[in-house]
Amino acid sequence: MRAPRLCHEVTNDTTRRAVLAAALAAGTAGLARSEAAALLDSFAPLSGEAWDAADRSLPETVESPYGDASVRVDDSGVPHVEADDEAAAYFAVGYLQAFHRLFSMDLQRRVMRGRLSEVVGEATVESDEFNVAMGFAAAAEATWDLVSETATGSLVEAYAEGVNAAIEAETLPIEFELLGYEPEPWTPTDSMLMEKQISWTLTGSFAGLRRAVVADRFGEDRAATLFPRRLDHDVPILDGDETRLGDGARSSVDGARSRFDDGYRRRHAEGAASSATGDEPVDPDLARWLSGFESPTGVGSNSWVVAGEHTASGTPTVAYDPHLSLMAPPLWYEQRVETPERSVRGATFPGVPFVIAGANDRATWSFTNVGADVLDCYRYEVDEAGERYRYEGEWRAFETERREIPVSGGEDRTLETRRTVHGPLIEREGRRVGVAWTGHTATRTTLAIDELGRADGFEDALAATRKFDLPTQNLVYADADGRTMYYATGQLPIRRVDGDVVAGDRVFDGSAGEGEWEGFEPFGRSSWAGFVPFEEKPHAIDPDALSTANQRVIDDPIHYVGADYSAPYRGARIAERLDAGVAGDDPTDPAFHRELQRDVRDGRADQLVPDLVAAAETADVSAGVREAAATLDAWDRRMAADSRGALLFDRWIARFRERVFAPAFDDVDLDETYYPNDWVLATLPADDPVFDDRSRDEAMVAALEAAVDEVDEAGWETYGDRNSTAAITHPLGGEAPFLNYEELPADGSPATVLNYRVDDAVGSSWRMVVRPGEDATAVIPGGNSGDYFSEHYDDQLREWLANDQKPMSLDPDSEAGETVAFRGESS
Amino acid sequence: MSDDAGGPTTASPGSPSPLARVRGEPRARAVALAVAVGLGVALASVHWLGLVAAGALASLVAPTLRRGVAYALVAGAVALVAFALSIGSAAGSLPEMRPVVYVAVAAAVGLPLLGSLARGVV
Repeated sequence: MRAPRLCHEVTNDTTRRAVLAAALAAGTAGLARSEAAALLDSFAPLSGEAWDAADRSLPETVESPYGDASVRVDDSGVPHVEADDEAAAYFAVGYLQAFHRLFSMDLQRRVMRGRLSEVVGEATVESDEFNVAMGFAAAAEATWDLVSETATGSLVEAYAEGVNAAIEAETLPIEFELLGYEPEPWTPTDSMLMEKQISWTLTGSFAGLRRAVVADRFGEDRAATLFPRRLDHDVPILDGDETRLGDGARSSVDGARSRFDDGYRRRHAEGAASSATGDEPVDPDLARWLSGFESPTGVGSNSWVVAGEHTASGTPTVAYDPHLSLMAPPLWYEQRVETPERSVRGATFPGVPFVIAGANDRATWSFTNVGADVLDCYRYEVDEAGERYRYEGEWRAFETERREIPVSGGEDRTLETRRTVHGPLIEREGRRVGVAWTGHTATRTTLAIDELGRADGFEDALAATRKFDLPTQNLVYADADGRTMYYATGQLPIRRVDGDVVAGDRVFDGSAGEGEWEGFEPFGRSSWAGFVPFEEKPHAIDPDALSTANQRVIDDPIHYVGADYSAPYRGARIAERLDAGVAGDDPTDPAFHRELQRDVRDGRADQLVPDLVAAAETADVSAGVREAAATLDAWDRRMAADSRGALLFDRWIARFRERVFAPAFDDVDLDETYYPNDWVLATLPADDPVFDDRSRDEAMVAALEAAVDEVDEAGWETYGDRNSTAAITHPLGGEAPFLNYEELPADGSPATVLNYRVDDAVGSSWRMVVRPGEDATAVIPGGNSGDYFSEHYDDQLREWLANDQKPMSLDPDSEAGETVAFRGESS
Repeated sequence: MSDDAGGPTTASPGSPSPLARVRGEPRARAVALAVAVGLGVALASVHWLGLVAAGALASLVAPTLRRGVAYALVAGAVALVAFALSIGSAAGSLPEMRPVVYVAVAAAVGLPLLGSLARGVV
């Protein structure tokens, strides 16, 4: 019996070995063919391609076709580029920006070109469709066509070559591995696209369309109360008595003003009261959809200048903090460039070669958003086939083009884009709106910022400002000669209907040729002939002390500027403290200005808390609500992270806003995106119709009860428990949360000088204080490098929270940091 | 099932094969394990299938299947340590790099385990 048993055991053993061998082979082959293989290709230890990004470092030498340049990256991750030749310097700048921020650069150009879905998938198809329809890429091409003919164009080309040298030679950042693609070469047009992107962020507003929707639903009178064209405050940027350019400006200005006033008054009511038709774009869904492609709520900025007579050193001082989207890595990139033609340091957007806001050896400059109206909407009569539109008495065919939108993991889309004589036509679910935007033509802004970097004084800066076609910005300038300046940059359209000058915050009849911009050539070169002359734009020469916070520029403008201004909370607080500082016995110094940038007093609380406390005292409320009212009564109205009062006020005003506006807006089927701003909320009188069903006091108390419940349920103790840096995320932070910044409590609110909007992730995206020709300090929200593995990825985050600014050094520590030698072919 | 799933380890009676000798002699086994792990880690630096190979090589020198599994895990741990060393100071970021670091750890454990099935075959 042994032989059969042995035979049986051998058979079993053979079978077992065969099974194990098959399992090993099948397991290995199965893994290699499964979706897990892609993950293992990227993240397996040792061989994973993503880990190559963990060991990136700048090379010691780089060959440059433009000649020698030296780079030292200082202990804050800021590159200092020195070269004898400008093109050599900007080749190095391109290389450095790409090394530190290539993913941000590529992402932004993909957004603007409508090619985000190609790497992200279905989620961004609508965004791509909008951006393709808007034709940003074509506008960038028209701009490059203009810039390429200038000396600046040569520097942009050198920059692009530097970017491509880095793409070629360097390990890609980890984000490319996470998304599984490689960037295409950078082109000068891509840099122009960055200018368009910034400009769209700051001026791409469909407020006129939204206003028309509100007027359509509420009636013009009610809309005027809820959305006043002029907020009732007395802190505009300009008083109107500032020194202006030229002696004869005032008389021509007055004539222009009267023409504008007459036409505006007469035409205002006519424009707002339009009835809806099949071609009528005044539709809440269309307006809401379009608004989704505007910048987040709260984009704005602070800046101010104080003349030398009010400073400790006798040199003017400029303080600046732009409020833009906060993200990891930050929007801004700090750099310094030293050549025989320029010595410039400051912040730029990755993809843009030149310092946008900063200082050179003689001057400093900054930009805050004007809120000007440089985008108009048009309705058209369109034929039944939808192929032609009526224009000045005849039918015209739309200019059409078929565009492909590749979609990763989904079905590619084909979009037929259409244009009219005014610009792109945007279509959505049967609704159409024509759009004219000053960015849809060749603009010289790149030339302007290049020239500002080389400006040797006031006249140079003024000449550069003339070329700053877009965006419309409050330029605040000072120099070592003691000159100061405020100028509203950007081309401002003048609209006419039947010969009368009218405002642009309405929908124009494009078929009738209403409101057209003379001298504007969409996707071509504009003469700007019919736009506001440079000398008639708001400005002030050598102001003593002046501040900007996106509030109304001036009470009595020569020409219509816009109506989309910020509530004046920040502006009033800055003006108040700046006036006190200037009037005080002690001259201001940089520490004073940095401290003012940190101010967290909330003007909304000054308007509302006394009434809220009084209402709560007379109401029948729970002990918890009474205690909350007492906390608010004792609160210093500072939106500090460690404050209980700030937490209660923040939650209370959100609930109060809902209770005041939701009933009326629900009735006309408009959601919370249409609610008026907090200045309107705070100043609506108790007899306003929104308080018909529930009195203002009752609404206040009910909101406090809801706020207390919310705070208790969430377990928050102080403001910083909710108001934190958790809002500052990386574009891929949802899937790869390690890329997000550390969660830390943050000071500030949407209405404080230290601006922080936790719900929108908007806030101070860069802070600087500069004494031109002397010292300069700055801080960035996060770090200067976009490389997750770099020590400079987030090394300034805590300093940013505290506004603990570092020097923008002209002389980096020669012993510290990485160095790169760019070698010309002859060296 | 027997702990020892040893395969045909003898070439002829009285003359153990090299593999059987390695499995049977502690010193030779230690040397062989070091070589196997070193070779496996080298392969893993080229492709993640190298981690399967590392597990297979390490387990083959083990005297039993159970110890083969343990040797494979050792190979995976060594690969993880080598990986952490290879990325220098960035290794400090690894614990925070969820969820991608889970892929790395799971690969370092799972793939050598898969490879250790080879010990049951040979």
